[in-house]
Amino acid sequence: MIRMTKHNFLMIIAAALLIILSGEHAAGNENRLSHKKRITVTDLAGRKVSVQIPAEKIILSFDRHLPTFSAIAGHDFLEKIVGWGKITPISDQNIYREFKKKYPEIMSIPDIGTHAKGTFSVEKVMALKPDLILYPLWAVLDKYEGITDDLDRLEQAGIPTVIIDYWKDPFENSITSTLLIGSMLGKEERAGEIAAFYKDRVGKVINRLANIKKNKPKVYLEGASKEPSQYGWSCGNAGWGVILKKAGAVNIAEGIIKERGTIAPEYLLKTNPDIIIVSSFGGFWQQPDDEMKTVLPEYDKKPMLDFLKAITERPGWGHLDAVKNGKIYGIFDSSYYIYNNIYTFAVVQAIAKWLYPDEFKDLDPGADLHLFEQRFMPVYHNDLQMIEINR
Amino acid sequence: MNHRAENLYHQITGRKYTIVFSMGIAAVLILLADIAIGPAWLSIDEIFLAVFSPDSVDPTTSTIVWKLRLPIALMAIVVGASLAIAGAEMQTILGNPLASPYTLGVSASAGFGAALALVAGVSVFPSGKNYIVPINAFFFAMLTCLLMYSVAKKAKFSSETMVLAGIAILFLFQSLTALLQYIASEQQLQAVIFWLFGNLFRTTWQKLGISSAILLLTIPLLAKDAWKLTTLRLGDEKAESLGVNVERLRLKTFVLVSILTGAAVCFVGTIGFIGLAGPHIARMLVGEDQRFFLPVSALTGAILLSSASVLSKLIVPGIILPIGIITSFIGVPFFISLMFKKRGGYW
Repeated sequence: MIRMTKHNFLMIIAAALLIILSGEHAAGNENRLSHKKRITVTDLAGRKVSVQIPAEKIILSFDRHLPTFSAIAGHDFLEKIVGWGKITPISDQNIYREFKKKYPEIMSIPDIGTHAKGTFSVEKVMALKPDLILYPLWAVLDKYEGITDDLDRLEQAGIPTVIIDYWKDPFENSITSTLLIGSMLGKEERAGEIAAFYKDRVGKVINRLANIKKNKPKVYLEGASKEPSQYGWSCGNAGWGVILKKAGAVNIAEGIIKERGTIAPEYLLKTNPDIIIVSSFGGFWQQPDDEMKTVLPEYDKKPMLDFLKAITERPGWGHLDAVKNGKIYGIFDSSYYIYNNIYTFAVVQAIAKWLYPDEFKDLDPGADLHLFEQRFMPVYHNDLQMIEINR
Repeated sequence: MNHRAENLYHQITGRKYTIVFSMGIAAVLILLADIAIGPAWLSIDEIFLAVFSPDSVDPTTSTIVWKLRLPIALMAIVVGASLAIAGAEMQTILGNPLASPYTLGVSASAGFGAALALVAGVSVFPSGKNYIVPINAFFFAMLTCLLMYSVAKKAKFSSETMVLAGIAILFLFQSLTALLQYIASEQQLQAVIFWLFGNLFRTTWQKLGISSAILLLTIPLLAKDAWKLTTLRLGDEKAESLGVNVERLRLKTFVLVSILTGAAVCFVGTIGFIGLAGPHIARMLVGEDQRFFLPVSALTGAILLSSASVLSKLIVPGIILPIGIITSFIGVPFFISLMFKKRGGYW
């Protein structure tokens, strides 16, 4: 009997092995479907979206999410991007160029168009059969033409849109978005590390600010989107507005501008800010005598300084305290990468340092940025330029 | 009988003089309001002091008044008047109630010229750094005027052809501009959109000077032809029988009006509606007689744009709202209510 049992036992083991092996084999044939499962996530617009994870074929609705996405996805980020809304390459931005050098394949990522220019193609998205499409909250809030209809159509076709956000609230939302993308890619751990790094670097500023009992300086921050003589946009309670607040500033646009808008010149003159910060993304306007063109921030600081100086020549600016005291700073980036991406920690540090130079003497935003790139980024772009006018 | 007719004439013209006069006063009042109102909330005394002795107030106040408010407020008057006069004379010489700088595609082509400078950096003439965009805009505005005129001449000034050709040109330049926007970087795209919205914040004293000079030169030249232009509305044959060289008058007026339009739109961008509504409102108030029609059109345009400027500062204090967006809000209700009142058909 015992022998028989032993025999049976072996038989059972063998059978079990066979089943397992064949199961494994079948699973391989079915494109690893057995690893896949459906989960419901809450995205940054508060929508409940059902997605299949781990997501392997992803569309970035705006190519400017490339740096953040590549940081979270890790070394094989490129295989995961099956399409994107291509707007950056038009002016061949610096970081894009760095990516292109190392990964020439990004040139052949299919373009799905963009709602920002009315070229978004639902059909193209469907043809690419993505597991999900990542869409930024600001684009949804801006209500580009046809955007809701298109996202509905994609949903009906079984392509989930997950809305992420690095703009409306560049702290809470950036962390949530990072973790969310990580969980959908099956990269929870890596996303967790990025979020922790981010929190830690922003925390350095926030914790110390809590003990600073000075009057907060009044700051005017302008996204310079036109020629230097024309006022650009400022943020109220989103984007830069939130960043300024975190960095310990009184944002003069708050309460006047809701999210994004242009401040009236005389309001600025009357408010007389202590510090002026000019930011420029995706190039800035330069007008050497007979030319009018946008130039990209390159490693050469001269055009940026010229631009800052040109801005201070606006009517009445000579009487502003910030101009008199030389408290004019610039944050230049070759695209919107810094602003709509995971790098905001470095910007908060830079601004805090400008606002409270003594208290944050030891802070080195550039070094932290570099460290971040070393740990998480596939390329080093060293593109962010934080410069100051010294009189 | 003769005496009665004369009395009646004086009564009618007297009423019209009153209208011109009271609109003049209204324009001045709105201009003052435009100078007085702004997000910095300066007191009336401060503004007064700043205007008449700029050195006695603090430099910021004098900058606000002299560099920001005065040129912009005056530009609103000048551009409003220019656009309305341009529309009025376009309607007169083309015999078409739909003619205006906007509907004939002049604004759209100016927009294209501006976009060409902003996106491609292409300037049609070598020019100083602050004038590339306006010069391009002006050039394309002229080009379209010329084109429209030759179409009008070929089509013997038939209303339908003119409107259709105008709309075709409008579409052509709109799609050319859209094409430029498509290839533009985001930065350039923003600049183009901002230009197309139309706003007065680019005004400087120099630009104001140019626009004003052209307006002030054009008005007497048009006023000189007031009678002849009035006869045009009776029809070409009648005008000719009264000794008017219709062809010459049309060409001359068209050239003047083109320059006027170009000088207005090239600095402020696309501000539609005023060129169309201004003259119609004037016509409803004083009729076709150019002696009144011309000044009342100008004043209506000035009042419309000036009120839009005031309103744009009041809607959301502290931020810049492009005036082009506001203009129609102000004009449309007034325009439509007048249209219903004058049921009899005024055209």
